Amino acid sequence: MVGSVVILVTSAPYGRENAYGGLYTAIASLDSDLRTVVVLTGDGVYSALRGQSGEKSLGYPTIGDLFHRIHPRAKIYAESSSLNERGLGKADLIEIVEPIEDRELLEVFVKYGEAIITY
Amino acid sequence: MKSLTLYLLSGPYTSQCTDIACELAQRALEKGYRVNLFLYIDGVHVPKKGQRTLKFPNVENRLKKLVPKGLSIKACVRCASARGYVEGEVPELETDTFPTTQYVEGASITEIYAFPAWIKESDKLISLGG
Repeated sequence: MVGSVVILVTSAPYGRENAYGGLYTAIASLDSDLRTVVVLTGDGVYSALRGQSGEKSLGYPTIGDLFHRIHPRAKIYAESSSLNERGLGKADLIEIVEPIEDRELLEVFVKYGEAIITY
Repeated sequence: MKSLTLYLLSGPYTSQCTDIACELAQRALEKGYRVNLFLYIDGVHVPKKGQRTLKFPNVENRLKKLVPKGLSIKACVRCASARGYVEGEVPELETDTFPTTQYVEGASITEIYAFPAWIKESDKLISLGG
């Protein structure tokens, strides 16, 4: 039986619904006692940027607020190479999101990836 | 009995994902699996009644054949409500599902918590359309 899940967010927020969907699924998984990790990779790292105001600019919920419903029950990682490729670093991120190197990310997948769901 | 959960995030016809999900469901049912299909984001369009296709395989007709063979179908209420499928504010007491007349028989609308419940009882999860 599946006991853990990796929520892999690869899409940027706001332009598509996928990132919201991933984070809502992470919250439901945690509420259901599944071991859960959120990984932001590719354009998914934009979800973790500080200073978002989706409500004011778009009328959409600010996606960064959902991270606070996940942490500290689950870790939220942003892949370092994806951050670097986009000129971003830890200082640009919401403080509860941790950059993670590829090698460490592999260990996360091995440990938690009984199910991996891509958004 | 082994259990497979399929998680579909895209609607029918815009990609092959729905057809792949149906094919996987059919094969798994034939092998004796219990098969669940959870619909999320645009996946909630998949069980809509009244689909008419000229050239492409008709997803509605395929689901109508798979449900009697044991396929369970649930759709996320947040996604389904946003897209106009939910016809009431509260779930029906007996089934804990939200009312709709727009889905094929056997497909229901539930809280997202039905999905992690299915994950936990499944041997395998396959995610499509993300």
